[in-house]
Amino acid sequence: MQTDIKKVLAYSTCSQLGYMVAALGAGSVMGGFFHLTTHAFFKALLFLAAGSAIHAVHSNEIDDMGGLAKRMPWTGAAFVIGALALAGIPGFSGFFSKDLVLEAVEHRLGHVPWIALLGTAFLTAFYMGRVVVVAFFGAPSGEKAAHAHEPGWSMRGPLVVLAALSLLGGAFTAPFARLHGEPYALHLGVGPVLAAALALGGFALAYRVYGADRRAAPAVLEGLAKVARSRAVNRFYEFGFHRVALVVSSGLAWTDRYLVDGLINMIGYETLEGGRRARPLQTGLAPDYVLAAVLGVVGLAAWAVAQ
Amino acid sequence: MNDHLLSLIVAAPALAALVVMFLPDGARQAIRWVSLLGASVSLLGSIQALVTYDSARGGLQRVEDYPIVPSMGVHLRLAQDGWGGPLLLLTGVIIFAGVLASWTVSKRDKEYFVLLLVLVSGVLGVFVSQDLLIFFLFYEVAVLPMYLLIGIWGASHAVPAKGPFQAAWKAFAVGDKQYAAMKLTLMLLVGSAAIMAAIFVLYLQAGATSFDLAHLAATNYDRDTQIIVFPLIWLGFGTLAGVFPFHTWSPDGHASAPTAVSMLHAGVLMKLGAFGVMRVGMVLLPEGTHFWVPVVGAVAAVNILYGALCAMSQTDLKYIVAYSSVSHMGVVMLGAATLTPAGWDGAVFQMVAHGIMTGLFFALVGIVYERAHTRAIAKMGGFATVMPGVAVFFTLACLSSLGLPGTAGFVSEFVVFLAAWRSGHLIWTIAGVLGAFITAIYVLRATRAIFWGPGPSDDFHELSDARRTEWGALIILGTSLVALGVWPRLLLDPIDVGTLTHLARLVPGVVR
Repeated sequence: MQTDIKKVLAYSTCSQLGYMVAALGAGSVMGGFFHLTTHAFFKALLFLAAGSAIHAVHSNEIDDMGGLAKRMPWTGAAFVIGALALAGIPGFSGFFSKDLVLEAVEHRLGHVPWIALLGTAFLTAFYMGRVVVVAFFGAPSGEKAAHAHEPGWSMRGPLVVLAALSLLGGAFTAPFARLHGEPYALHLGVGPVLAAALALGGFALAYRVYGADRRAAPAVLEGLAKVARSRAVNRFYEFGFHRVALVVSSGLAWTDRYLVDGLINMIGYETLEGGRRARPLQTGLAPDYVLAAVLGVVGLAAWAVAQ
Repeated sequence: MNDHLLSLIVAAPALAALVVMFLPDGARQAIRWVSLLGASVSLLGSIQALVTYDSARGGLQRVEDYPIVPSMGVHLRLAQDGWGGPLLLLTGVIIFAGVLASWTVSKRDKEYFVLLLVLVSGVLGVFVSQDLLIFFLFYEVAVLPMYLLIGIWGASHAVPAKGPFQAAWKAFAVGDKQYAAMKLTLMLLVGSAAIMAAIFVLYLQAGATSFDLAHLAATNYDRDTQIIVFPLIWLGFGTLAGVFPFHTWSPDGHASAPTAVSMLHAGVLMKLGAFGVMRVGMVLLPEGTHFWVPVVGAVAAVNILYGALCAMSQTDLKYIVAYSSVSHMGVVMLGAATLTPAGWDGAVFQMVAHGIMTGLFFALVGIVYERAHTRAIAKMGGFATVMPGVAVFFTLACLSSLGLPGTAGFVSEFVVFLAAWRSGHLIWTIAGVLGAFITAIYVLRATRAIFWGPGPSDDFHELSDARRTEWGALIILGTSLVALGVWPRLLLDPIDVGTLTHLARLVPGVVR
């Protein structure tokens, strides 16, 4: 539901990191690593393409874009390739790496996390489909989008390289597996077919919903968006810092200043006070000292007798 | 072969002080250059000593022995073990940078440099003394000039009377520089009294023939003596190392002290405390150490967390750095308390890493304070626009403080926490790592509050970046911090040699 194209990509990164960690959880270091690698290709591509679009319309909002593919064919093609790879459409790099993750998760962790990951794949396709449809197809939403133009080759060059890697990265699967000393064979089964179908389904749904109305807001997503807008997670962190950590900290600082150090000051103070209280004993008058001496002698004598 | 290098390193600052004493009052440049010369001799000498120390042979090297009171077995016996080189180097770096950072001192500058240099001779002497009485003598030489340095050249502020012990505020102006100087001196002297008592017990029970550390270490004291004497040494030296709850001289003392004195005090003097606990307490009293080590480790863990938490809500820049020292010295003591080679290596490396880092911090704080005339971070902001160089070095010190890989702070914290974990001290490790995490919070918050954000307000029209000699101090400290972070073996190799020799007394047959 984010409308900032970069925020969409950023949240998507959080989601894909979950994929990688899920792979690690399933014991497939190689799967996690390979997804990390392909993700690096296509997410970098997506961000660069997004940057190119932002550069053209001077806005991060997808609502300010629209129809960019026509005006900026290179950028549009790059973004679409990135989106397809991210969604895991067969043939693109993301398909192979996601497949490795899904396979490991299905075998090692069971069906519940596996279904969750498949569901995520569907959602991924859906939200990327939305960005593609809203930002790059349809009618331009304003002056700037209508007059957008392709950036120079210095910006197009990296797009081409990354697009090639996103497109063909799947070919590295077998060498990558060898590097990790794990066997790898292309396989067909329920998993990959289902994943591919879900990804295509996600795109189709996005096209149906947003192709008709670019500002459509399905009720389910609206609820989620409310949570996101409330910044509940951020607020939780802020609460933890300001209300818990800082309060504990200032409490301790006060304790250190006024109790721990206060006690030490008090020891010093009492020493001085003790001296002050003992001072009257030193009267400076000879008779007092003689009296003390006599008392001492008598006392000692009494003690000696008692012995 | 004996080149008397150690004597030269130790004596150079004191000799420079002697020359400075006879310079005319107005000879500003001469005073500074002679001081810098003395510091450079120590710095270069310590590099030479570190590089030429034969790690393969190990043990004591460059032994120099001059009888002082033969009838009592007191010898001026200097020698360098594996720990000696790195700690000499630390002291050399800090005093060199400290003299550069003091270039602008204007009040009674002659006396200032004399005291500073004498103090450093004391510190250097402790690190290479092999005779317990001389060790203690040097220790006192290092501690006492602090009283004058803080009391005369320090800065005062007021701490309002609150809490159940307000009565004490009637007698002292808490926060005043003379209060800070007196508190520091008294607390450390109480510690010294405890050490002195311990030294005499050790001396007498070993036959009253020699104060030689090797002789004392070869003596097997009975278990009860060890259990009674160890806490005296731990708390006696520990007071200087900022061991909780005897650390309270440190925030006030460091906050009141002038720049170079804070650098030396937090950078080097606190290390003397930790060094004393390890070199005298632990090595001479194995059974006492084993008996008390759970307490030492637990208190160290408290130090780390407590110091970090206290630092987080300080509003005065110097107090933040001072509490961070209390926290980081906890890492040293934690490493020592693991009684493992890695822990001890990490502890000694942390002495060096923290020394340089905190020296850099205080140098920067001094620069900021001199120009902003305030230490309240709430008033600052956006200083990076006018003092970019200072901002860069401050950030570097922060990164080392929070243990970023590539800086010296990472090496020691990582090694110490790993050692604590491996030796089965889960709770200590958790406390330590949590402390490092909190450190990240408060140092980054401080950096942001001081340097980032919109440019400084009109109140700060005197701000400017570092000047000539200040650059010298910042560069030498900053470079050391990074160099040790990427190449820790330079110090870890000799440190390890020292560790294995010393630790063998506590853990027979210890190997890497």
